[in-house]
Amino acid sequence: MESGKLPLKAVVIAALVLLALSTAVISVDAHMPGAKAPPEFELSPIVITDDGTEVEITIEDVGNYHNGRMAEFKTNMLKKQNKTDAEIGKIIEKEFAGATGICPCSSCAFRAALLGISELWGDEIPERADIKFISRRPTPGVTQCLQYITGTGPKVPDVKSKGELQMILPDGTEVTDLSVPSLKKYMVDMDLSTWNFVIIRKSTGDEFEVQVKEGVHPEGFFELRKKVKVDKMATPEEIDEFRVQWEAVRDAFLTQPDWELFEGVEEPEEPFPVGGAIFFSILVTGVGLLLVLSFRGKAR
Amino acid sequence: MNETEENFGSIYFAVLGAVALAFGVAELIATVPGEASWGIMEMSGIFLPWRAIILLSVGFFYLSSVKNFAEVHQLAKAVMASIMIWIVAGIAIWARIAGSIPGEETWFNSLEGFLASYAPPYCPEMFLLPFSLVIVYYVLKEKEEK
Amino acid sequence: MQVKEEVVKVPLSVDERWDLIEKISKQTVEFGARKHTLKDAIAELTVKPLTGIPVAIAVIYGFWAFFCEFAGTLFTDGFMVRLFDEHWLPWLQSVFPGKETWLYFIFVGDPAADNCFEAFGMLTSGLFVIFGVVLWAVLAFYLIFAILEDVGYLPRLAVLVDTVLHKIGLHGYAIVPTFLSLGCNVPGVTATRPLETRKQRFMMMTLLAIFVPCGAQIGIMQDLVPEMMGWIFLTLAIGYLGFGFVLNKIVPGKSPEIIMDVPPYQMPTLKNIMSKLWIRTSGFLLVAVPFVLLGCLIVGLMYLTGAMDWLAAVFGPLLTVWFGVPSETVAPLIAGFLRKDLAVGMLGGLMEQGIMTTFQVFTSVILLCIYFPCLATFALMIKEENWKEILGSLASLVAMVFVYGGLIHLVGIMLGVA
Repeated sequence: MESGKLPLKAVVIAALVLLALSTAVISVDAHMPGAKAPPEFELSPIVITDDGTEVEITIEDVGNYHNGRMAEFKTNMLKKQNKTDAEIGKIIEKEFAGATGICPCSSCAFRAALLGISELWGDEIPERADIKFISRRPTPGVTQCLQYITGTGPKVPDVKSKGELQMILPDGTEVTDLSVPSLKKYMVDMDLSTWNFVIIRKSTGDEFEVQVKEGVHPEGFFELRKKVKVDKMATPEEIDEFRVQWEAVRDAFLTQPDWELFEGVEEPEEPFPVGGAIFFSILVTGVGLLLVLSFRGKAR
Repeated sequence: MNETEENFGSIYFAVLGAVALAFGVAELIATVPGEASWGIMEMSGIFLPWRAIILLSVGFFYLSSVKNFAEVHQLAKAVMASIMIWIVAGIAIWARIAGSIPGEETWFNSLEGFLASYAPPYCPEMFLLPFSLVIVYYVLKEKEEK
Repeated sequence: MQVKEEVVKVPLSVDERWDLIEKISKQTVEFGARKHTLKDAIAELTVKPLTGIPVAIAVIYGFWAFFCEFAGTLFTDGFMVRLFDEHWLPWLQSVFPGKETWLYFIFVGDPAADNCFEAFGMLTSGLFVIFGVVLWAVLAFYLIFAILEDVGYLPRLAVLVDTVLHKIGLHGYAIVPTFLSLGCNVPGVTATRPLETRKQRFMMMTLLAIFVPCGAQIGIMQDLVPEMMGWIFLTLAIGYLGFGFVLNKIVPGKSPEIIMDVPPYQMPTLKNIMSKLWIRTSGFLLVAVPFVLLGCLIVGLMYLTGAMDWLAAVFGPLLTVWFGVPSETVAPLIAGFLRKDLAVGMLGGLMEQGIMTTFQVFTSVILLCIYFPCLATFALMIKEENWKEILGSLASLVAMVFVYGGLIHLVGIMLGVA
């Protein structure tokens, strides 16, 4: 009888664990309330050396940093509105619970940095101080991602040396104050031209430009973004639609290969599948041999 | 079947049985994380636990056939084990054939895409397949003697 | 003078009959030592539980994996989805006149649909279900079934499962109609004829009608919810054995032993396999095509006239409260009277619209399996059973749907997924 009871208990426990896990999966994104958690993805980390010490930067590190900075910004805003600490704590907890900080901007900047570094340094590991980024996109997601990589942002952990980050908008305006309130002023009309980055190897002066391809963003994305995020005139349906598009862009940067995301990157040619050809030849020979033998057997 | 053939069969299928058993255990362990790979061998898929059970049985069948191998009931166990490998490996090959014909964007696959469908990694049963074919010799031998 | 020999007919009991057979065989048959051949030894291995069960697992694995790769990977996903969704549907939507008319709705379906599961017109979903999914599933099923039959494995599988099926008052032979029903319930019900007593036939037919999904339905389920197939089959198998046990206890009558012919193993011939495949598949299509198209027509008309909304409003509370599925499930349940595959296809449409949770899809698929046999099977059951048995079958169906459907909902609530 005991053995009969055990599986049921195990099933109930397993179900409860699964249930608990499922609630963790349904995360809320602070940057886009109600957005689904990112899909499963595999992104290699950015590997650099900081004053000789090897540092691995993952997209999760970048997301956490971005999340922390945004929570800090929100806290400061609420303090200005004379909210009590308890109220602020509640609001922050509610808005940032389960948030990953991985948004279209931070994931795009991360991918652009990965691509630029591999193009300029190849198999070498870059020194942090040798890296310079010029960003055209004045959003906290992009800025804080690049600040984390270059070590130029506030509170980036264990920074020994610093790279460089410059913000030059597509119209040529240079933004020097990279704080969130300052960036907000420039986040108005942002089209595809802002999804552009230049990565520079300072020691050699080599540059690599990364421009996001047309078609990565769904049709009407930029107009809808303005309606929802800037003008705040969107209907609930439009907000829902923007959330779906926002998720699609983020997921594209997390899952799609470089040549589908960025201009000028050519799809690597697949090597001729030698292994497959050998196996197929063996298969065909085997089947042929089997047919010959069975016909000979029948003829006998 | 003469003594040499019987002795060879015993040793050969004892080794094959041990290998099949080891692969079966590996597949069973791989069911916990869901997949595992070793070189060009890969153990994955939703049927992995079932394949593990089949492979373990194959191992036991082969090993139990070793003693007095020439006796027809013992030989039958080795034949059955080989047939079980043929079923699983045959399905693995069939899955590759079925997946190799339609293209992703076009109706039919390109030559490279077609051949890539047959590229490694392979499941353990596919590695056992050629070695299991030795049983055909013993079946024909038994038929001849009859 | 003629002497008339009087033959006295005395009914013999089962034991007496066996004794008589033994006496006759002793007088007429010469017994001698026979050397076992390799075939005999293999045959023996496949019926002994210790060796037969692993072999059965390998065979069933081969059966199922071939089915998935042939019907799913190669034909449905490889060619048919592209043919129907990227070519047939857009072409039909562009050439069929009058997007607002009822005729368009009946034949092409939803003008905004971008796949044939969602469109639900006779020429879109109807044809896709038959020729895009079901045909290949049925073809794959009957091909393997014919091979197993001709090789001689099926009777051995029957011997192997005999002990288990005895617990529910059936015999190993029941595996034959059950397997046949996995292709189509109609030949499955016909295959219950060799069963000796009415109790056995009634039980078998009721179990087939309730718990055995047909190949067409399995094909659609595999296409829609491949990750749930294991759970669906497990739930149905538990129901099959559990309900069979209950039926065996409450249905009056006997379950006498039957003798099954177990032929030697042999190589199947291509000609035989092909002719079986042709007869069974064409027979299946003759039954399926009109019913699927009729199903699309009736469901379309019910939507147009508002009858579907009315039914959803009437049965909605029952579906939501007792079974835990949304009221929109009414439409597939109605279509399920005609064709289960069509009904599961409709569930696919609801899934795509995000109306159902994963557990609700699971419950709905099980409900669709157990709530009523398709019309063709029901018509055959009427022919094969007397009115008392039909009423009994229907009562069993109703009781089963409420008990089992409610139980699944309850389990879902306890696990926190419903």
